[in-house]
Amino acid sequence: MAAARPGALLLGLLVAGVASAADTLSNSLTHAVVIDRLRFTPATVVAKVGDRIVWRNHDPFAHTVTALEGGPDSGEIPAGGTWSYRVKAAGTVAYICKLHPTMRAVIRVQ
Amino acid sequence: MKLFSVFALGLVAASAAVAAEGPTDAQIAAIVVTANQVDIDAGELAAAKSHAKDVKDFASRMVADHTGVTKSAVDLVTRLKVTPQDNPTSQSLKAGGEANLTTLKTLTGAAFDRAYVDHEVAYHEQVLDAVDKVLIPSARNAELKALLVKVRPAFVDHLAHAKQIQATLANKSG
Repeated sequence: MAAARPGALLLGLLVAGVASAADTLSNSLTHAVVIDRLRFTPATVVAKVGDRIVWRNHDPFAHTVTALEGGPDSGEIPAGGTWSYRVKAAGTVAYICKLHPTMRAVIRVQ
Repeated sequence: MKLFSVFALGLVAASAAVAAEGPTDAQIAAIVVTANQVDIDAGELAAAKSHAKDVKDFASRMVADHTGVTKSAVDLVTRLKVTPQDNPTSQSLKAGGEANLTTLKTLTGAAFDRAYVDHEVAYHEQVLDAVDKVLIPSARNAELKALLVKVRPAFVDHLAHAKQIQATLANKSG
């Protein structure tokens, strides 16, 4: 498992890199968030309106990305799955995994 | 004083012996699979039997998460060619799980919910204690140790979640 992680991270970076290239025309970026050991990493994403955020679930069970007040709700992201969201408005969005109440993180949109 | 020192030395020696003779990887594999299965069985019963949404949702979560952990563990030990080996700890977990199911089956309504959730709190505390004090320190294979470290936060979250529901149920009955 320890051996598999760097590979998975590298794949995540590649995916993010390709997505960033595709977004170059619109000048927006793609931010990668890893879900592992019941943590969102990074716990704070700083983004601009129009940027894309991709969450990749490395845990062996489902998680969600659910804004506390309005905003995004991924539904269940299965083990090994990804979910992507395009940032729509400026402000701070606190989100949780609604399946695991100890998981919390933030999107700060400039 | 002297007697106390001899007693204390004896305890340290006994702890050292337990640590040195901790479970083998094959035994740890059996403990992990059994510990998860016990919680899946209780979760399936509670998901079907409880009428409280938070208890049902929690029970379904236990079934889903522990099924995921079991799959990871089985995939790993299969790849490592380790055959899970039954041992006193896995047998006692199994017996405890069966006794819990027997008790739960005699209960209904709020009494069932309380008994299920109380047991989940105690069970996750016990499992976390075993993960920290016995399983992680005893695991010899690095990948098995890494798997235990990886799934530990799930047990912490489940314990917090169970305690939260326990408090809600106590308020309802009070």
